[in-house]
Amino acid sequence: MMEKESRLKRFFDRRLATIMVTPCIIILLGMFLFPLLWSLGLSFYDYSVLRPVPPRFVGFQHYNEIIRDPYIWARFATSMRFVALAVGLQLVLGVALAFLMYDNFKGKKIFMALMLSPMMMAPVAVGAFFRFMYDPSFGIIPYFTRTLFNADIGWVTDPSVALYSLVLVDTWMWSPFVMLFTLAGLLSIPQHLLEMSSIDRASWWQRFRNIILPQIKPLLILALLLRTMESFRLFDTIWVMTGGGPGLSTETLAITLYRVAFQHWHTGRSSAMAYIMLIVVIVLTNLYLRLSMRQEGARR
Amino acid sequence: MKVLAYVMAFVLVLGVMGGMAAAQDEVVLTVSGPDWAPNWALRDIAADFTPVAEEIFGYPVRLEFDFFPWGVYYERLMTALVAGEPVYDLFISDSQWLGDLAVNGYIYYLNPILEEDPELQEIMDSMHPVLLSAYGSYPDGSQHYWGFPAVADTKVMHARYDLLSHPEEREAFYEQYGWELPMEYEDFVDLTWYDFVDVLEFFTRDAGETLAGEVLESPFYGGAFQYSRDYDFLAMGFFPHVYGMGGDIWDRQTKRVQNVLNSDLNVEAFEFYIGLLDYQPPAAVNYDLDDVNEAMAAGLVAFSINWCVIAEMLYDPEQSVVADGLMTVLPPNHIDTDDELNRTFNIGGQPIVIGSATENIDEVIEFIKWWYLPENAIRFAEAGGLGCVEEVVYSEEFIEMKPYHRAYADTLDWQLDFWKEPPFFEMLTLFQETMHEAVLGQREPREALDHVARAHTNILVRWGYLAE
Repeated sequence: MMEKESRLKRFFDRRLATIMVTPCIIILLGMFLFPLLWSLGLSFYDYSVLRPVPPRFVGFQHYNEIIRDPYIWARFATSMRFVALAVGLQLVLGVALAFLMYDNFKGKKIFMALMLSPMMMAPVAVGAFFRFMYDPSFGIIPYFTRTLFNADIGWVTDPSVALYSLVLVDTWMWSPFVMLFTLAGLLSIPQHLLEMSSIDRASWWQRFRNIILPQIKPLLILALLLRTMESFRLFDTIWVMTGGGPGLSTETLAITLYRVAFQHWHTGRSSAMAYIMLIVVIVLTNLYLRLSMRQEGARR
Repeated sequence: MKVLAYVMAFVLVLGVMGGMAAAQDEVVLTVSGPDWAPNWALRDIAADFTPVAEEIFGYPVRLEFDFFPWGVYYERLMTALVAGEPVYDLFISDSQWLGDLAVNGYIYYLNPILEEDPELQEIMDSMHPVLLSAYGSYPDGSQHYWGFPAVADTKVMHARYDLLSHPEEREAFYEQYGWELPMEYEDFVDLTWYDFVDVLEFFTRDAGETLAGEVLESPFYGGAFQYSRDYDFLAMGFFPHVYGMGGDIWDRQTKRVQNVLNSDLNVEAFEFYIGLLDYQPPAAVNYDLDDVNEAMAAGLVAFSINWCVIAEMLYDPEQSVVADGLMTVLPPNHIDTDDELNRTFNIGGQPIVIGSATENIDEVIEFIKWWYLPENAIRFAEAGGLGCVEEVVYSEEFIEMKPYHRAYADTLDWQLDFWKEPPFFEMLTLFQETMHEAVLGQREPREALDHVARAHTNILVRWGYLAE
């Protein structure tokens, strides 16, 4: 009797769970999977959402054209340059800041709160105020570089500098994110390991290489993965600060995608571009994951 | 007591129902437009239409405005039109978008309405013909009307009268160049760009040099013109030099671009326009209309060429340090291929169009008629807007109302518009990004023009405007 009641309860529990989860799954399918499949379908059509002309099936033509287009490759190179510089700098600064925050010092909590504030801000707002701060006529940054170093730097007007200005902004905003991940790794290191290494008179480098790095590496790789994906598809800050200019110097793939989709209204072609970007992100993600797993395997 | 309570409750219910009925009767017209001074004036004046509409229709008509920054307005408007939400009863459209909006059925074709409504036809007939053609017609210059001229605009030149009239500056200029520095409005009427370059060069000075008897703490520049890659700023700065020298951006009959846009004459015009950067602040390579105004308002330059409709802030002492010493004149001329003085500029300004999805066409038409009443035209002009009605723009009252109205009225006969066809935005963005690379020295002017001519040809072929 008891067993029968328990079976009945399990059955109703499962039914209840199914009933509770179903709306969520329907919403997820409707909001994510359907648009994904729909846009995949559109990428095989010559279609503009603006024009009252029926879509024309063109197969892989858009993919073929995009992959052979030197203009797109140049934008891809700009994106990769931005990702490499921004994520690289964020990694170095984030780790350095984490070590700083690992130590106890007076005012640490206030410093920590201040450190974290940039990543709490809306990217559009960050772009807007850095645009003003970089402004060659009245911006505070050109003012300081002029006054202190007598250097007239065209932060957002010189095509050879503008990308680096964006890298600085992204680094300012997201280094604390890497710091948080690294700090979490540092705090998880068993204290006795560090104490033992001190007793064994291990040098700082030996401690870092043999104890600290292996402990923080998984979290560091996760932070790198997230930052790479984010930087690759960064749009809002760049759009507000430079709009992709001057010239084409800061026009990343994400900016080009926006132009093709919402300025030229090539819906089919822009869908194909979005899928190519998605594939690139997936490839990068897999590279990181493989690297992470290989390290994990080597450790075992 | 109980009866009194019932009566009060009954009255309350009646009141609420009455209120609901009144609220239901109100019609709200949603208007979209770029977020800038002339449209703020439109919004403020339009608030007075509500009681007028109540007299006509027996219920109030209120206008609600949805403004977006210029840089994103086209995308936001088009996205709303494609999505069908929100429904805009009226919107301010750039004249270039008329083709796109008309071909895709997003706006009302006005000819049938005009035929049925002589009062409305009379309003259209009263417009300055240049403005009517630019803001109303598609195809450009045809008799097919899609928009009402709303925010008229042309480019004018602002000049520092305080510097031009300074005796030491005048003497020094004469000594250096052997001719008198222009000073009065009339002096600029026949001024050519080739002479004007002397003036720009003369006023470009380093920190430590003297300007009007005072030692400069920071560099000072001859002028500020538009070169930004955003929207149409570079095109609007460059096209007047093309037209002025006698060239064009395409064959207006056949739509052929090759050997027209990239002609030798246009290469020369582009090189000339790039050369003017020598006399402008280093940031000028990215100057849009606001940056040009700010450079002048901050006292950084002696001259600026900009849209007249945003001139008001330059004459406001709270926003401009040069407000008291400023004058607005005609921009310089080029000498065209017929050896004539030519100051043809690209027209700015926008029409107001009726959204085809509106369910309030009667109220919209009444608003249009009310908006063009002479008293509203004057109120709009007083708030910084510019007139569209021919009789108004040449009237003494209008000319004397603002220091920049005379120049605006005098430029009206020198206007030409550019692409209005549906692929306009694709042609424009391509033009902007390629030509801006040349402005930055990353491409040769000829190479940039050749590239744009090829790309424009491909776009026009793809859209069926040119044979392959």
